[in-house]
Amino acid sequence: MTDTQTRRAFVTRSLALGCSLAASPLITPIALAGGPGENRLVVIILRGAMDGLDVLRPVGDRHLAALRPGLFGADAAGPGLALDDFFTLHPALDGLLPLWQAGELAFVPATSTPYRDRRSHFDGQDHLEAGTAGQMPPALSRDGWLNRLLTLLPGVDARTAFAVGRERMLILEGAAPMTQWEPGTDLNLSPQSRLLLAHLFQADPLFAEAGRTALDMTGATRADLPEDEMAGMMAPTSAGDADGLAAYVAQQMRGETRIASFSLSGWDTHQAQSRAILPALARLQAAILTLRTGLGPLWGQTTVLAMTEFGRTMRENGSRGTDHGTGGAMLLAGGAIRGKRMIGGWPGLAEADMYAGRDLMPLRDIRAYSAWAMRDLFGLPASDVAATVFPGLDMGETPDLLL
Amino acid sequence: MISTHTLAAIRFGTGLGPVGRTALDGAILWDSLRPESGGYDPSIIPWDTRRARALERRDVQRALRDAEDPALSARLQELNRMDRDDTFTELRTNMARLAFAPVGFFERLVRFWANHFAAQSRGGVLRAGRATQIEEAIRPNITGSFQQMLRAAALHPVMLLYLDQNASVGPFSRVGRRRGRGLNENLARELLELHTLGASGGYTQEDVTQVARLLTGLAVSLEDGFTFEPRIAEPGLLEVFGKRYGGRPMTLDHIIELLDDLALRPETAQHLASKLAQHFVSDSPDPQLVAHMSASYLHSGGDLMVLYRAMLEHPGAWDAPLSKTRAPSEMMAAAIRAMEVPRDMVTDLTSRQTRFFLAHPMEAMGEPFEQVPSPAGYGDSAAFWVTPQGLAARIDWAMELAQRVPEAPDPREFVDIAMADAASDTLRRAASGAETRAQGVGLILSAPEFNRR
Repeated sequence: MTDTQTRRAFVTRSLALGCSLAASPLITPIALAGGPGENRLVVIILRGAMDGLDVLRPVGDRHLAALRPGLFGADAAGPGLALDDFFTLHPALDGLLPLWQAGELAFVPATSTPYRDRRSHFDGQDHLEAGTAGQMPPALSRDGWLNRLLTLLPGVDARTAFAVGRERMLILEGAAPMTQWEPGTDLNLSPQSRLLLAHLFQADPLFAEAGRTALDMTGATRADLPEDEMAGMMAPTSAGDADGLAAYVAQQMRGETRIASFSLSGWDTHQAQSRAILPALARLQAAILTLRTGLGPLWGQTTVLAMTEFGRTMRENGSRGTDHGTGGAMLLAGGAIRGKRMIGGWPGLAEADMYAGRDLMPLRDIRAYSAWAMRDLFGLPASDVAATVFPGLDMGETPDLLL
Repeated sequence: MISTHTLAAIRFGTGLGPVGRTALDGAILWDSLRPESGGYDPSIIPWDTRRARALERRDVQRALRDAEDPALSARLQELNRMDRDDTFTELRTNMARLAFAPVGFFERLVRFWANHFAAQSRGGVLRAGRATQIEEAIRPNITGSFQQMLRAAALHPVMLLYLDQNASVGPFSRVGRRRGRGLNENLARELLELHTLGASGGYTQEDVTQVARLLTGLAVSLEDGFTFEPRIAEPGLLEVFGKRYGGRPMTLDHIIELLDDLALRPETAQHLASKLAQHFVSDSPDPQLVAHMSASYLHSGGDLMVLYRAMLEHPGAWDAPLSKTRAPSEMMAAAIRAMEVPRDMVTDLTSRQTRFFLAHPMEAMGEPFEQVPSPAGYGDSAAFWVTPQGLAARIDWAMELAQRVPEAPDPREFVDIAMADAASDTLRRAASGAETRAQGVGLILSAPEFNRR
């Protein structure tokens, strides 16, 4: 049943058999009064520690060339795409330049979570997704900050927030309802079995809703999709399938969903970084462009935050790669943001300006940016965000992220 | 009214099926628990082997960072392949144990305690460790005392690494004073909150800190494995719940003494009894059942066999309907068992087949092998596993299994093998209404009823 042709025939048959369209997440008319509003937030977790210095190259900093002789060569500014008179963009992200020009792309060049010094992916990602700080041991964190955000929003149900992909997304786990779904999940069920199974699920109150959703989402709910998008979603998900993840997020967000998160991995570039980072960059670019296309006019109400667990060392290592560091870049995209700018300043690359003499100095807690984005997107009092979503965070001045 | 045999097999065992058809009841369940079931299976990689492999991986990675070396690169790939293949072997071993155990109560208890002492490798050079920790710390102690299991599980190197105990140094120890290092309270907190007293166990932050001080000295390294290091141990007497522990010389015995005392606190008895009853019987078990279990446990001085007997002999364990949900691997094992899949079809799977048939489906259902979501383990409410993604993955796997066995049984007969007198008329009608045998069998395995226990 991986064959799209078969699949589409099957969908049509299911429709003819009267599978409940009313329960479909795509075509249910949504009453938004009292709901979480019209703004949309996508958080992309970049797993593996993205090298901000390679993605967003501070070619105006005179120390750069000496730190990355093998990676950038003699002319560090050479291949990059100029964003302003100080930073260039990695050439593999050329597809994002139009967004920059349109004011739909921005960067925070030097930020990080409060996690310091141990530089473990495992712990760093826990910190990033739990949104905890200080002495809070990451292993203790059992819910994520996006889930805590949900507890502040009115009219939230399981479709309001989606964790997309097979990978565990701590960022959305917690007490508030949410749905995790891996696009491309398909069921090898005959229409008759589908009907019988729907009947069996209905008979058990605990299984009824989840069972109906499972059947809906694998079944007759995609009739309104363009064919190419449908084909994209049929493809099995893999780390490389950023398109499929983003297309699915866009599809949900055209409906009831307001918050979604997924992860893109492959950023742990210890060796031969100039080659090794390319697939990850391609995925990131594809995800953002697919979101933009898929959301259409809704892109104007969308904010995308792409963040990583920590940055990488400023000096390249002996194998033309970089090792685990501290500060790094965050990327913002979307029609809702005030783009075409660098946010939060630049610490400098002189040894004395670095963190521990080796890493980029983070100038501001990454949670402050997330917190202000949530406040602005969902009209929440800053005090509620600080108290519930990021307990103990000093949000500071607004960075005016949104238009 | 469901028969005692059916309840025993589904609620306390690993399911109905052609294996072990004896008429089960509480006494037979209890009698089926034998210490020898906890024997070490040679297919599970011991800690010392995992450790040696991690050590070698670290050294090879370091060497490769300095210079390219084809031989070392090949060796690194070999190490990675060994760890990956061994993890798949461990998965097959544990799945076969669940699916083919004559009764399965022992295996269910292993799963319960493994989740109670949830730990995993944190990645990096040490690729896996959960199966090892279960094999070394949980299985041998299923029929012993809780004190023994607590010592083995909470102090297992995999747990110490998982809960950062390696980063904890007594501030007034030799190392602490010289290098200004201090406590990490992670293990101390989980020891009280999760392993013994429970979240409502009435302890304070001060207790956590005192326990953290007492736990200093516990250390794990890839070179030496588990050791007790007096030079990082906090000197002096520490008071926990009104009793003094520690003092010079700093030894592991002080820690053991605390663990033994914690095991026999009434809060611990209440915590363990209610967790066990919630796991096997109901999200909200009969309070009298829990009270009986708790009192029996305390009276026996921590004897786990007495705790289990107290559960099995109480009517509250048998009155309630089958309201819990089978965890993914329990559902898979129950299906393999009911389908009479030959044992070697499970144990002889290649790594590739294991990934396709066991590992990926389990992950999609929400229970990735070798992983735990947090130190608290997987949730244990009936609703925990019931998600759209999880159910879709269950249906997918059930249909796949039904189509893969050479000859699918007749669904009308299979419903009796798999569910016996627990099958509802709705399920029987659905099973006989399927288009093909395979779809009918898959339907039964996907149905909420089969996914209950």
